[in-house]
Amino acid sequence: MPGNKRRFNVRFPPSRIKKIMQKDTEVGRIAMAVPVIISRALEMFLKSLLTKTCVITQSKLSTVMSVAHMKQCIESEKLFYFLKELTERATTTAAQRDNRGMRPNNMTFLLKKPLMWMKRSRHRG
Amino acid sequence: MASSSGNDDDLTIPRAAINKMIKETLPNVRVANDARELVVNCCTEFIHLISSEANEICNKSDKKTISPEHVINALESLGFASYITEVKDVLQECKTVALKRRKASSRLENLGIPEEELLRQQQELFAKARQQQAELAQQEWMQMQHAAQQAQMAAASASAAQQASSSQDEDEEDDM
Repeated sequence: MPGNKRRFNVRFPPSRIKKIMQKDTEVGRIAMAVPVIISRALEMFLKSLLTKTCVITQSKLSTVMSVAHMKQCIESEKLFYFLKELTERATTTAAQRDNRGMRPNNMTFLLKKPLMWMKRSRHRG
Repeated sequence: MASSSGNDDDLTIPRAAINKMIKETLPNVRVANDARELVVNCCTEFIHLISSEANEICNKSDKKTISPEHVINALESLGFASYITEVKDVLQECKTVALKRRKASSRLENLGIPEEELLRQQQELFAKARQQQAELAQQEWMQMQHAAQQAQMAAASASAAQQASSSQDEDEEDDM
């Protein structure tokens, strides 16, 4: 659509963010600026998550950042506790290998499970 | 959004955007593919975390729409207060952009002339056109008149000349 190279100088697509938000049926109307500011908050969050995980990767003298490093990072930061269940599922399936020694695709399994945010109250408690 | 590929349940931040973020944050670090997938899913979790909290805050207020203020309060209550300064900057940018857009569209509306004025201008143009047509028509008529007169005069002198020469011929015949 012409002229849709719009306005917002943010990294993640606000339209996509809005759709993700509205997967939660309890979420109703959303002001236009909201997905935009969430995009920025998300950026800051990822920067923090990646940087902190990298410290662990380097401490293990590893050349590649892995799911295990991320899990360790998430478990070490209260702020990231809401990701615990997600990582638990990820690392469990990552540990499983079939008899050919290949890893299953762990992410499709993840998507079928209810998401952590539904149990948001746990995080706040 | 042009593409309609995939169904609703695979809603995530685009992988390319994540890869770009990783590249920019950790330029010299290799990241395993399944770790990247996990990052993508962490994004979704984060969005839901903030939305859910913001929605709750919104419900407690007398508003029906989740506002940026609700989101900012959500960040605070979830422990992400350190993000608020930058988030407020982005919010300010949004407001500036929205203001510019409103100004631009109202300027355009003011340039567009109200209907009565447009009608009046149209009538004026029609009147002018009619007058021009009338003047043109009159000019043509006068030219025709002039041309007709000239033709008449020419015809009259031509026949007069002819008559003069033919009466001379008759005299000569009588003498023979």
